[in-house]
Amino acid sequence: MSPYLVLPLLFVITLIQTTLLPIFLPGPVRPDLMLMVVVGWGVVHGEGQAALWGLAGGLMLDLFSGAPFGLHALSLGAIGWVADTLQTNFFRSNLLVPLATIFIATLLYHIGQAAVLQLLGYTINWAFYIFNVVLPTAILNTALMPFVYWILRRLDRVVRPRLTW
Amino acid sequence: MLDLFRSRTGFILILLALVFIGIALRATGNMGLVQDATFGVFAPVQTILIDASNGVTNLFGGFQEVNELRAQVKQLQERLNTAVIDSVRVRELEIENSELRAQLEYKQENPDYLLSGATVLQENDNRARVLSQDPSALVNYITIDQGRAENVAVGMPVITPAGLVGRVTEVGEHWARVLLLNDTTSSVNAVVQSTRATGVVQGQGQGSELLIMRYLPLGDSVKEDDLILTSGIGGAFPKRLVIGQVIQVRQRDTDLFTEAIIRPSVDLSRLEFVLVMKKFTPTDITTEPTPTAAPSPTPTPAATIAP
Repeated sequence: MSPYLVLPLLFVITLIQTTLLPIFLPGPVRPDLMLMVVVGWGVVHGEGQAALWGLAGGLMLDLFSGAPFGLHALSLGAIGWVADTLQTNFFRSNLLVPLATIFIATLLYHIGQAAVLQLLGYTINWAFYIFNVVLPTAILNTALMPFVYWILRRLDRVVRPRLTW
Repeated sequence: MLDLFRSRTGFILILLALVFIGIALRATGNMGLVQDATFGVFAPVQTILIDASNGVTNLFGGFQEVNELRAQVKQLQERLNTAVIDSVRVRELEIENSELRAQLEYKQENPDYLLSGATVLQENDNRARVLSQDPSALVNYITIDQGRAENVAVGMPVITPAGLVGRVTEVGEHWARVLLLNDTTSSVNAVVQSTRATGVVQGQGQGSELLIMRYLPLGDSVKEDDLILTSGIGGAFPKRLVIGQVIQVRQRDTDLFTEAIIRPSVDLSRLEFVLVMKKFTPTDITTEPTPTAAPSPTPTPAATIAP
């Protein structure tokens, strides 16, 4: 998919995640829209694109974050790379694949980021964070994934014939 | 070189290079130009989105929150009753205080006696709009639409009329990043209003809205429902800004200090507009009397044995 289409799409997702979602869903448990799109695109399309989307989308999130720069870019890039791999190894029309993938990816994304922050000196209350934030977010992401997956599959049908990236 | 831009590996290398350049720029404090450009593009769109979403929220939010609002109304009514009683008592104390001052020909020399926030509110009508919240639940920052051009500087306290929100940690041309009170790296010197016991209020992070006040002296230094204010020690914040209210006290026999769990007076997850305190007189700690813990009962002097 052309970067001229991807970058505005990631721009819009960044805006929704950092500006709109906090208004409608105040509190720590919010859907990770960028993560869902990266994982979803990896499962739907693969071919190494999800890693690119993850890196580019993560860079945009990093600009809005007070966390150490690169935390979102590198974690989303790594998860995108794993999702790309899944597309080549699993039958992608099975809806269970994106559901299981987003659940596990959410756990890895949040726990990985917390581990990196702890290594950098942040205090992490693991039990509280996992039970009050990570697990509810994973369930929320999984519940919303069919909707995102459906949109991404339609997008895939549109862009696949003139794939350039 | 063109091939680099056409291949996927080339793009990955470019993006990774950007990530590492970003890490280096953030570490050396030179990220300003990049973020100025970013917020220059994002901020107008964000403002439009926020305005549009406020309309939608007003339309549909009311239906969803009726039950919640009813409970809140009941709770607020109870708090209002308590506040009315308190205000009467405070008024009485003010009158008494004023009479005593007059009798002693006391001259108030310290202009900082009043809440600094009041002055700031008068001087700075321009409220800063909250543009975005941190995408990670692990760190608690907001981005506001005022920056260097509006004379905002790093370290300035950020408040709402309800109390303290946090402080500015990063400033761009027309944006600033604010570290919220509930972030784990936030630390504010505070005082218990009723006992004048001092401690440090820190965030618990990881999505918790509650704060924790540490290093309080053992004993009756704090109790539930006590108000926690900034102490002004250290000069980072003015004195007597409301931080929150104690909801739980933790004290074990083996501990060296008491801890208190505090609910912030400001709902940090629903911030829309904030005020940046651009001017306040920091507390001069060389002339400030050392705050002490709750006055303990005076021990009975030992009987003196006459020679």
